[in-house]
Amino acid sequence: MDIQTLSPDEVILWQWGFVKLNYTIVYTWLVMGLLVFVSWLATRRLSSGPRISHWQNLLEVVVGAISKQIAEVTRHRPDRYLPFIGTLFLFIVTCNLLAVVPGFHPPTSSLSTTTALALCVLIAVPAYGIASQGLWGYLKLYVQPTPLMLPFNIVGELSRTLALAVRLFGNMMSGAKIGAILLAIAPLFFPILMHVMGLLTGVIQAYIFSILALVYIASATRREAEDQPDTDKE
Amino acid sequence: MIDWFTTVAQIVNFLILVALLRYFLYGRIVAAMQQREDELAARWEEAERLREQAQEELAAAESTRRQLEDQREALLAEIRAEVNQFRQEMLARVRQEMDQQRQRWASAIQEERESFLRDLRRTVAEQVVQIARRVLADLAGVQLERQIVAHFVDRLRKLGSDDRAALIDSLHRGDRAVTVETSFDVDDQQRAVLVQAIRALLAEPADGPEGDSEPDGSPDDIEVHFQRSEDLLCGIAVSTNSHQVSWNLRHYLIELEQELQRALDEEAAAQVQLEADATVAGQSVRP
Repeated sequence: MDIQTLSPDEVILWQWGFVKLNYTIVYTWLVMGLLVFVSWLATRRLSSGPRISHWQNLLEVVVGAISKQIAEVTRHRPDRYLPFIGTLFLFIVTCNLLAVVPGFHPPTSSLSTTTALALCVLIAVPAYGIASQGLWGYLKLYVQPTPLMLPFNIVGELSRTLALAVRLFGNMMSGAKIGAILLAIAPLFFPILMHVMGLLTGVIQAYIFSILALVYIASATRREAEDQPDTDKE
Repeated sequence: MIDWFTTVAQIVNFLILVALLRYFLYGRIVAAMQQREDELAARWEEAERLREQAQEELAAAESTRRQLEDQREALLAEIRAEVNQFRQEMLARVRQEMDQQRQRWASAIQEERESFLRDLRRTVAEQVVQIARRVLADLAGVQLERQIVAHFVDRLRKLGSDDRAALIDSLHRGDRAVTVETSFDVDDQQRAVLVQAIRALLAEPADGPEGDSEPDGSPDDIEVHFQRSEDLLCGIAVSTNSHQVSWNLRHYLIELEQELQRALDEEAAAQVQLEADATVAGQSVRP
């Protein structure tokens, strides 16, 4: 991949018809494998006592922080949202952090990947909404406060999905590209600083993406929270 | 550029990752955390229960301690009351013994005083008799007994009509015998004077309610017996079977004795008052 290549999608390793294996898919698998391996490693000997392993401690801190964040935003029990939002965050942040590894091409710098994740959010929002307050209850949200708002609501739903995808893609792609460009101009020291900046940006972007998805889902399930505040509060 | 095949593949990848992490990570970790929280809650509850139990036991122990303290106080109070009562009883007994002792002393003193007075009376009588005898002998040149007899005869003559009537009356009822008791030996002359005086007394008619009644016999047949009596103190007594006329020093001595008695009583009363004041002062000083 050189500086002209905007996306890891374009680096194709194998192709058969329209089925192809590019960097995006391969590195996604790599990240998936890493996450699953670490999870398996930490959870194969779980302890509920006072003494726990370092891996378990790390994952408990991470999962606990995500659960707390979800509970604060949705004011629901976090169990229902944890797998989706947690996986979204862990996947994005792992991809972004591994960007500092030489030779690693983060899948999140591919517009295909960010679009895929945004589409997942696009599907998850009505799915959670319908699951929490039924089909009719969810659809009524589109005609509120008046039916005149229906087209705007639909447009807003689609545009915010597009914004999700483009925001993550733009940030990660620009970070990777700027690093490559600066490497060409000033080979010493400066790219290191950019990589440090990239780590921060990556974490922030992962957080933003997850939180926005969570806010969208929470807004779709808000009515239930307002109707049953006592049972749903953490 | 969006590669739609890659997009779909990424969606599938993401869903697979969600499923895998849900199985390997969230489920297990959340379960472990939940289990730890439950365990902590159980331990917390157990600790809370033990704490409450300990507090209850502490309260029970405190209650038992207070109870024991109360019992101890009650026992002490009982013992104090008993000791106090014993002390009061002992004090009362000692006071009683002291009173008895004092009464014994007082009676002993009384006896001693009476004994002293008896001795004094006898001694004084003897002294008075000796002094009177000596004075009479020195001054008049006559014997005391003669003077006593003369005085007695004079007294018989001046006897009141009631006394004389009573004497005569008793003589009529009795055996017409008169006994003359003297504290000294009477010679024949004095005896004759006395017999004459008695017969003269009894012979004259009494000036009483039965003044005109005649006596049953002559005064000469009245028998007069003389008898020495140590009980009389320097005197003479004439007695029928129921009446007596006498003169001796006893009356004077009894008056003297009464005077002495009164003086001694006053002295003794003053002494007792002093002792009582001293006792009261001692008791008020004693705690």
